[in-house]
Amino acid sequence: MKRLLGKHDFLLITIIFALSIPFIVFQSHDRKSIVIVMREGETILKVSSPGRYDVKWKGKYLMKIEFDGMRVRVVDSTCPLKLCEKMGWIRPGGTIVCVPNKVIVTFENVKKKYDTMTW
Amino acid sequence: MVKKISLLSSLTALSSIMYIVESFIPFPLVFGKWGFSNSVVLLLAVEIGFKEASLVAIAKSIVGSLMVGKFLSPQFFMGFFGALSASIVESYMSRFRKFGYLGLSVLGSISNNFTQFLIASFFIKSSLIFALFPLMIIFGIISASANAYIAKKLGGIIVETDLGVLFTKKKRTPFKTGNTV
Repeated sequence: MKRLLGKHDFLLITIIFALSIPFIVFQSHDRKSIVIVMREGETILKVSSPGRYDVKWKGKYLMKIEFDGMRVRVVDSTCPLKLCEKMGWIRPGGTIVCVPNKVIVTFENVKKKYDTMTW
Repeated sequence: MVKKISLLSSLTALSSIMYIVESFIPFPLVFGKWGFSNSVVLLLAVEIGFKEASLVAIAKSIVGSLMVGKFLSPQFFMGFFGALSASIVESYMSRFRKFGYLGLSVLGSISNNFTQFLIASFFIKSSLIFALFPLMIIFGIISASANAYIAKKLGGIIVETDLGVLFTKKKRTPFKTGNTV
């Protein structure tokens, strides 16, 4: 049988940690925030002032979101597992995804300080 | 051949039961799962081969989702293709004799997560879900190490009890009592 771990395994895990930690730490936290709700790639609701809003698609009630000017959360949803409600509040840069309703709640991309990105 | 079929079917049953029971164990991320059932796929991919591993991966996601009642739902497709891609990656990388169980398990969990995110982004027609990918990799490493330990232990038990096929066609070596981890 193969061994459980060796030095290559530790090397691999270290490399993966080193690659993925910067992505978590340097997630963009921008000031200005406009919430957009998308279904299948098209925007169905755009929110810029605080309050509670119903998300509807073709007259069918999907979910209710709450926006407090800085953060957004899903208050009530029609999906079975309610994962979107358990995600809680999200800040700019975060995303709430509801797979059964095919809905994405996220923040609109505000203008970045840089205008191009190169690898 | 009969021994192999019996081994594969009992492992499939074990893995689909794990698929159901693991949903009761809490995971730090609300949309994630531990994925203990993939340890069986890992064991088969490392020790026996790609064909058996992918067979069990397909069978366990079908049987498990039938028992839970999520057959042909988005979650079923995510789990199905995720387990399949993990079995492909694990069995391919295990040929190189570089990585042990832990490294192979981590590689498999990354490919599993990537495929699941790919399928989910296909269902919701947006790639914004990939913003959660780095976080998922970090928690994937934790659950992958648990999986590697389970797979190694499971393999030790199978060898020790001489349940079905031995992993190599060489002469059997005597094993000590207690499993071989």
